[in-house]
Amino acid sequence: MKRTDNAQSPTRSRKGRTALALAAIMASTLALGACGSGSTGASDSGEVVLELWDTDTRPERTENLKKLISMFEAKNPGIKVNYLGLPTDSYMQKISTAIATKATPDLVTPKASDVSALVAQGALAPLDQDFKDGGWEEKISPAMTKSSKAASPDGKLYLTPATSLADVIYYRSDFMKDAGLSAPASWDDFYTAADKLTDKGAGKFGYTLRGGNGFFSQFVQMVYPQSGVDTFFREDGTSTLDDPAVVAAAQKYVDLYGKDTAGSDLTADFKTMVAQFGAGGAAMLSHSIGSYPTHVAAIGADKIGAVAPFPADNGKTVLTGRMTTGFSMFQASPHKEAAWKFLEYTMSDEGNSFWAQKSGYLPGNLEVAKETWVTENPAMQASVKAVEDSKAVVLEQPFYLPEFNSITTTDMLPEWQRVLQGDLSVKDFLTQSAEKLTKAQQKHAKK
Amino acid sequence: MTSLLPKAHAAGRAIAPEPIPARPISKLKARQRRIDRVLTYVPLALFLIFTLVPFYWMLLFAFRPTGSTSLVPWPITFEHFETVWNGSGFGIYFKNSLFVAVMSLLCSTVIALLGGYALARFRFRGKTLFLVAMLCTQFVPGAMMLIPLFEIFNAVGLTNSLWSLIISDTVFHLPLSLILMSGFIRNVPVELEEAAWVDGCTRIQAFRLVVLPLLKPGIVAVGSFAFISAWNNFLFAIMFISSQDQFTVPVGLSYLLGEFGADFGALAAGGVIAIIPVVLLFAYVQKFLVQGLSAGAVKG
Repeated sequence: MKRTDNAQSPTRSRKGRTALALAAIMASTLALGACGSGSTGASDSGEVVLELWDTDTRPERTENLKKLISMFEAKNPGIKVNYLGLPTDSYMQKISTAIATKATPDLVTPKASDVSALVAQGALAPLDQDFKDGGWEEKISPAMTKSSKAASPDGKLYLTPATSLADVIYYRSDFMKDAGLSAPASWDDFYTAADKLTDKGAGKFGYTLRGGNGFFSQFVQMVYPQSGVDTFFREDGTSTLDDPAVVAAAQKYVDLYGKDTAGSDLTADFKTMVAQFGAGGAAMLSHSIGSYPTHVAAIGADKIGAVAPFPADNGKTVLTGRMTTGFSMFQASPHKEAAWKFLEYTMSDEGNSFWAQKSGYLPGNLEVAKETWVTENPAMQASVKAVEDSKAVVLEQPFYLPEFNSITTTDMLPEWQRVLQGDLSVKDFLTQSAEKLTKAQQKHAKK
Repeated sequence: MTSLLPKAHAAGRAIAPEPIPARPISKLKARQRRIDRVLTYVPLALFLIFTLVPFYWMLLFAFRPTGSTSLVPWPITFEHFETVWNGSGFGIYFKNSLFVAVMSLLCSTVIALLGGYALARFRFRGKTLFLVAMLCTQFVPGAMMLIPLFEIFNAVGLTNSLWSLIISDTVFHLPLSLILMSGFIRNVPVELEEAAWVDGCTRIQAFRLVVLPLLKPGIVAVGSFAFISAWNNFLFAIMFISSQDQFTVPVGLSYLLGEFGADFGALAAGGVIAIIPVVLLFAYVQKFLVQGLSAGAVKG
């Protein structure tokens, strides 16, 4: 450190330094000026420009959504919709930043499970009045409207009931045929098929169980319909997770692990399950109708069958995964009228038919639901038939609870994996989890 | 020295013609060498397999037709590359990423050279405090700065511009670059510069003509780190950009994983496209990088 530092060059050129500094300032100013762009939401020609953020971006979905936008623009001259695709696993971070910085777009396609968090921040605009005035109450499936309202903490409509998902059990029809089995029609059939189609030596398993991220949706899909319990909370506000029928059904489901499933299913998430099913490593898979196009692309339509949840021993058919997948409008949108026009278009005969068919969703528009393409798709047909059953009850998940996501993901996932490994009993797991959900529900009821 | 050489030669000659005791020793040596070789190459091979299998998996999925379960990418197909390049717009994302990464590299390197020089050569009040403050900024995660950064970029009209990414990437990378570069510059003896001044150079000329050529490893190390961190940055790209044609490769890759579908072939092809520039860069600069890292880290 004894080195002599030279603070001044012997022949420093002040002129040169000033020139350099000026050049740097000018260059940065030019760069800033050239690249700055502000979005005002209206173009020079007086055209209204809407910003739409999609939250489940995939190449084929983007293409379909862009087509839907161009169809809408053709019908509504003077309104332009700018599309922005966001990655499905990090879109909430972007939206939260946009809310905090008052830079929200006009329209968004939120997941039903995130509506509650967005409404809690006052970000979404309620649509009830427009929905009523437009006569949509008669044109849209009441079950879907109800489900859409159930996703919000205040029971208002924030998410258009344009389309919906539903859970089905997919099966490899070619494997079933080879094993001399027919499509399962009861829970007993399902367990028998899972057993028969398992050939551990050949690395083939009857079922793929979701042990990793997002396990709860498959858990609910397989356990509640089997138990015949059709609500998440009893009338006194306590969770039904610790109901003896639910515990018994969960035990049967857990028993599949390691016996009729691969050991690696302990950490299987959606991607792993689909890869396993697509590669022939698993003969059956529980998932939503939304993944049908993915399975078709992987193994071909002729090798896939789908069935809706079977009736429970008490005779009830409990339908799960009826999650609305619609569009919402931001409260801060300066073009609410134009934005509503777009929302209406997604529920109209033309827009709804196109969007639901291309996305593989159940259409909300009652007229569209009668179209032939709905009956051509086995997963959709199974879901439509299931709703027609007079004894069918839709199980609404409590997405309105802001804690619901964190309880069913962060809290329950590690415990669930302990259950699969045999370190925690099914009963203890469900009792603990029921307590957490009950607490959240009671907190909500107090409000 | 010269007088020792013939002795050594003589000794060498004297030992060489005695074959009898050498045999058991060489046998023993050979066995030892074999054991050494096994102990070196077996763990290396295992490590190599561990490292390369994911790459092989990626190449396999990228070049294998959809639905195939073959363990070799045969028949080879480029359909996934076509899907991501044309269908998913990777062409645009690639161009944007390249622009952001190259500009971040240039900005980081130029500022690090200037700042690093000041840190290495000048004494000024609060220099230690400045260095500590810069180190402290490294502990603040980028996610915490999102909202303030967004507000600033919004105020100056830079949201939705690739310059917001270049500026934020450069700024976040600068503390490390400055510290690294000041270490490299400190290693260049100040006497060299002084000699240049005596010969009539200005400080800038002396820096450009004498110091800069000696800083090649440092420039490569700082530049490649800046390039790679800008190339891989997902968070800033998704946050500051709200226009489809301004997104970068990491955002494009995330599009291939939807909520209800994952096209593994396209994802792998996207991965291959995303790593090509990084692999090429490393292949070219790795010798400078190792040299640069050790020089800057130990002696700085």
